[in-house]
Amino acid sequence: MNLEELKDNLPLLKQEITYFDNAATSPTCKVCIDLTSDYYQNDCFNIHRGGYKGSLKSERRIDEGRALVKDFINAESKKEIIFTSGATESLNLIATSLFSSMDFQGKNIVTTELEHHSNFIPWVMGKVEVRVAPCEKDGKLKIKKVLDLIDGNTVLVAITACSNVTGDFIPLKEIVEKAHIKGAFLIVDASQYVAHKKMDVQKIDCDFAVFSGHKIYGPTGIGVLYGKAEIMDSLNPPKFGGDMVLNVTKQEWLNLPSRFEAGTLNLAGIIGLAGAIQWLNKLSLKNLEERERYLKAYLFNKLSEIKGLTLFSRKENSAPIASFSMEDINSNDIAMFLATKEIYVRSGNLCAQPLLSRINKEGLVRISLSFFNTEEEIDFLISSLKQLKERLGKWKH
Amino acid sequence: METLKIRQEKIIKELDSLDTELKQFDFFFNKAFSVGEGPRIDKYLIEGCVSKAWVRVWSEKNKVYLEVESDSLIFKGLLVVIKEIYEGSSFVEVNNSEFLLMRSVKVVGLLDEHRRESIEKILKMIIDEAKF
Repeated sequence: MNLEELKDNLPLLKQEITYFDNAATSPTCKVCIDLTSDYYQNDCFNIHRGGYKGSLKSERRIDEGRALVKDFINAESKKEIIFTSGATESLNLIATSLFSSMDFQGKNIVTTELEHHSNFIPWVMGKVEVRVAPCEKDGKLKIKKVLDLIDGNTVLVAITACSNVTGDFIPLKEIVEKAHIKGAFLIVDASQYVAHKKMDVQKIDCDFAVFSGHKIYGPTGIGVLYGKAEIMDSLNPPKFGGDMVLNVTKQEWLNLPSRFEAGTLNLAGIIGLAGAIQWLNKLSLKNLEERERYLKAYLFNKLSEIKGLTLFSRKENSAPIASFSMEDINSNDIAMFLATKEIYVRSGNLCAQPLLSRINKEGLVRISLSFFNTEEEIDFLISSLKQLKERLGKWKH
Repeated sequence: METLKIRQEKIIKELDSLDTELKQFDFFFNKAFSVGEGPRIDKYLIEGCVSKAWVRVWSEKNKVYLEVESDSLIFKGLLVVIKEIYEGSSFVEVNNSEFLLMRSVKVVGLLDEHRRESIEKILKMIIDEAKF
């Protein structure tokens, strides 16, 4: 598929915009849009116990969607895939379940300064000691800092596989090993990771993993919680309602995954997510990764031409993300200036206040690329940043 | 001295004549650089603002005065414009005024929910100060 064909499959890109905010939300692919629309137009029937053709058809599509997600992250079983509204809900679901299922007296949770707020606040809100592994002043996370905090009282290690600020991929092997040796669970925030690399939960051997559909060209409002079946079976469900209960008076719950999916699911979202995964599978993440690596190198090279620009992302072993600050100008002003040219980037604390405190920044500008971006778009960004610098110089004098 | 209403109308006219977002961006940046640094004192910090902003409102002889500052130059530019509209206005003028400026702002980033809330807070501070 060439670049033009790719863009045809991402209708949002027909607009006259330069889109560099993929780490927040990627453009929804046409397959997903068509499938979602088709569901609402032709198959909008609820699942389970409908007893009619339409309901059974919807049920089959949801089951197929679950199977696709299972394969996408290489889970062992479909029952380990729980649908949520997004990574945030997935993380909150595990937090609530753990806090209601286990005694945390004298125990601790280990996390890092690199985390998105959604993988930080749910742990801090519990009545438990939270140990936060510090980053370096350049935003790097040294694995040893995490390992040093894990001890026999650690119940959970909550860590990202890829920073939404620096883009760094985090090597999880040693952390998983130590967590398990000490009897702790490990939850991986894979929200950024899955858009760029093949996720293999069995190979990583994590106990839980989460991600959102809208960062992998799928719909908003749908996300995934992966949890090892034997662990999920031992946890209390955090939400109660229809379609999750076996016996109401005895408070007996259905088997996985239903016990964690109270109420009507976002059925259109699941079908759309499955479509996005099929589309990504067809393109092959490996090919896309190569293209993104090239674009990232091109971007980093060009950004280095701008004096007074400090990068907090690295070329190697990272997602195609470049977060930076510029001398004498606030990150929000940079983003607003770029927006006047229809260049869409993210700015501010990037939902990562602990990390920004560590690197002593109020805000950063984040460029997050995807395989559909072009060298021309990057050139346009660079010339716009240079123009802003020139203007700033003039205004100051 | 021009009335609050006339000052606001003039600025609105100027903003309306700037037909692109980029031209307005320049306008607000120029405004930010047209004044010196305002007070960066915690008690004047506007809570919840996306970019840090400090606004001091006070009154003398039933007239309202302001000092403004922000980390964001473009937001500071907007605050300077608000200062130009309200500074030196009598309590009666403030109480009889309607803030219409935002309808003419084209810089999308200044129109997000958080910034609009901050502007509303600042206007409330001005109106509260203008109570007899």
